Amino acid sequence: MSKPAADVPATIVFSKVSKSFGGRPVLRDVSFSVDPGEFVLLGGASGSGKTTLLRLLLALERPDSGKVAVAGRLVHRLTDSSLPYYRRNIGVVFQDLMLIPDASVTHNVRLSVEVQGASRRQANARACMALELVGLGDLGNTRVDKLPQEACQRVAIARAIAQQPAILLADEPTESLGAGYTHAVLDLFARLAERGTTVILASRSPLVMGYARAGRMMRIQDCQVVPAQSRTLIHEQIPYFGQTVSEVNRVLDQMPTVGPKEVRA
Amino acid sequence: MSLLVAMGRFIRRPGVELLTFFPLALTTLALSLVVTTWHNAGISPEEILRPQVAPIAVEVDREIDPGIVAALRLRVQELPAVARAELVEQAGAPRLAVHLRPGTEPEVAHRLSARLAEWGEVRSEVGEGWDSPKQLRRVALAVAIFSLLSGLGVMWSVLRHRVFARRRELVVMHLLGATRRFLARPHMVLGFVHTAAAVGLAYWLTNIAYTMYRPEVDGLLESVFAVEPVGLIAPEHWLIAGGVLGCFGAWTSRGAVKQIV
Repeated sequence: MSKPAADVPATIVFSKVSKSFGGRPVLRDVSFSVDPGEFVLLGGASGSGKTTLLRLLLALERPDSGKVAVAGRLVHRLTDSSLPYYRRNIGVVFQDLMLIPDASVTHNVRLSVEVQGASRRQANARACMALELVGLGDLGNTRVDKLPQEACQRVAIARAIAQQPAILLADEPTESLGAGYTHAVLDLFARLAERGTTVILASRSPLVMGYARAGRMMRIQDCQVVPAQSRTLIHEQIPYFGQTVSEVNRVLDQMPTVGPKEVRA
Repeated sequence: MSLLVAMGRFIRRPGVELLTFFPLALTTLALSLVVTTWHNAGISPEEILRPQVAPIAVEVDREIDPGIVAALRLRVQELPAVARAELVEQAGAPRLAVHLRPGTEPEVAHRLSARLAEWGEVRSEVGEGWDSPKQLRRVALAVAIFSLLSGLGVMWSVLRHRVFARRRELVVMHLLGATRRFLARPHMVLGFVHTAAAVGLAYWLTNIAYTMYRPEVDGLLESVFAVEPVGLIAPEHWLIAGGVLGCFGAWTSRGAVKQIV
């Protein structure tokens, strides 16, 4: 099903990328790179261009100028036929979640596995593990439209994790979550990064931007990506979706990895 | 097997599938009735374009022996161009009404009229003077074509609505890395199954209806089109129709998926 893998690490490179909408510049000559397994927090005010940057990475937008490269491939040059294979390597938590409201939680989560050609059994197994990681293991058969917003947010996160992506993009993934859950999600992302997944998390929340375990913090300011100062605001003793850290590690260890995190296109 | 699993994923909303199937079944049933009527009326484009002939009425001389007239009727009835020959008593005078088969060449009709003139006065004109069946057949053909086109339009619309009811799911799956082929395949299979099953149901219902109401239908066809009914459409033609319409359903569904993603 998948095209042959390229043995290239998932390095993300933005090179003098500019993007504007209706004449209003959103990104101007933005250049930065992200190494494989790095956990990057991307801050900035509402409307500053965080989502646009993530959409450029997901090839939902094309830059006006400059280059966006992932694993040595120019994302904006990918053909329509190769885009799905590229996107299978990128787990996304969309700001508007993009869940299917009339489907069950498990159905929503396993979609990301099924599109990769996995069997229904494999998809269900990975979906259950991912749901366990976000504390929704017992709500698999519940319809998404019956869940509160906070739980929907966690379903979206589980879907991205179940995909076992090389790169995980999260756009305001903690918007509806309280402080406890926010920390739990950040901690989960940090653990995924430790296992080799490149994580880029965009948020305007100071609570998120103060997360201590993130590898790097950046802000979008005046259409430019600039380094941000680290401020530790959260302590790590907050309960993790009602599970202990060792339980979380056990589930993560059980989830089969996709080998060295690489981008297939 | 994987295709069945994929189909199972897409039959998650049986309500939508039922709402798809019933209009398709009704449309194909309506189409089958139109086509069956057309088929029974013996209409084909070639026959419509050929000149039509009128029934020939012969006022037989009163002096002629009725036995001879009856024999004449039987003899005329045996002619290949003759659909039926009837002997009618009108005010004591025997009258032979000869109905020719649709599409009979006027020369044949003229020759027959000339031969029949030996037995009495031939009343009816042959040829252009009587073209109402021709007009009727033309109307029937127009109705059949219009029904077919509008039926296909309804099916096209219903199948597209079925796919568009899953629009969000298709968009999400495409964003998650599903290829167009992966997304379209189950919809194409279901589009085929829906339409082919609708044709199958229409075949079954048409057969039942025709069996139940055959005398009335035959009488109606005979009185309207003046031809002998030739029965139902052959099963192999139904099979071809099911295949063609099934492919149409698959093609329509694929087009809808392509439009969404």
